[in-house]
Amino acid sequence: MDDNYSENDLQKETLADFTGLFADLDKTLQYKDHPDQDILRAYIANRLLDAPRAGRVGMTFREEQAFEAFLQGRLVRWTRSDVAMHVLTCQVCQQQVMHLRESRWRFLALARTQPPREQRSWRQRFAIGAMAGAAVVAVIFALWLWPPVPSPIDLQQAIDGGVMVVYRAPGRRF
Amino acid sequence: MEVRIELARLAYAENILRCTNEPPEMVEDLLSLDGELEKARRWFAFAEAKRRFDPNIVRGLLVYLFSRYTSTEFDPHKREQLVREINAGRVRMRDLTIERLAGTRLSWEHIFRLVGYQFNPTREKEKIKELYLQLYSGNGAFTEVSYGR
Repeated sequence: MDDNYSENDLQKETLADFTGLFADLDKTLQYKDHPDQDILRAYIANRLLDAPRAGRVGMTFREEQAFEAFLQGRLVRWTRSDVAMHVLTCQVCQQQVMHLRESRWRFLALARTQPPREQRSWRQRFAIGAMAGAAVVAVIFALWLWPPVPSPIDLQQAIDGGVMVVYRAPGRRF
Repeated sequence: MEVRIELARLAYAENILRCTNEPPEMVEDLLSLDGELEKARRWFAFAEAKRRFDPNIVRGLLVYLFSRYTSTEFDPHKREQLVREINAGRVRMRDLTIERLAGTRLSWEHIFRLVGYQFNPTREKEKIKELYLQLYSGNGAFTEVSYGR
């Protein structure tokens, strides 16, 4: 079989030579500890890392203690592989993951089918712009009308012989 | 205990899929604690094949294997969800776990889509089997394998 294999040849290839690798795996185990809801949510959303402390390579195979904890099903920090293996063999968590996945799927499907926000017409945009402009002008005008705050007079300077100039301001503004 | 070691080997295989695996010589002792060195070495052949051949094709073979043989129960609903994600291009191989693939029974068409191109699975499978024989050459001894590029 070369690169130009037929569709029939392709369908026949099932990699059956490797099935021995999966012997004795189709069973459930009893666990004392289970990942909590937050960890399962992170796992489903692909936000759970393979190793929180060890970069890209999983801790499970890096430290004997971590490996022992993995074997005993007592995990302090759950990595993605830890959760995957746990869920694969724990019926309780399988149900939880199924429900969480369902709700996530519903949420994402709903979000993807939301209609895009309606574009405003040029009249609406013009009206909003005019209102914003009028508001800015009104604020500037109000500031112009606001009476000026007189600066405090330094009397001590006058008592000490300094020159004090008093300006007389008109009723409203200069 | 045996089942847990079996799970550890499977976790290692999952790490090969996501390219987060340790080199085989560093985990050989841990993954053969139950005396099943042969099983551990078969996964190591995949790890080495990923280094020597096209890594995406080896990962594609692993995805196929996990989807077919991890669980004997077929889960059509799970498959439908995953296939929809694959067809929409919203899932990559590094996002996948064995648990997510178990029972989905993906076809080669889906694997090719995940990998990004078509390949000849029979030829690639034979290459891995040959590599296994080359590495562990009958007497069980681990022949010289360089993990440096």
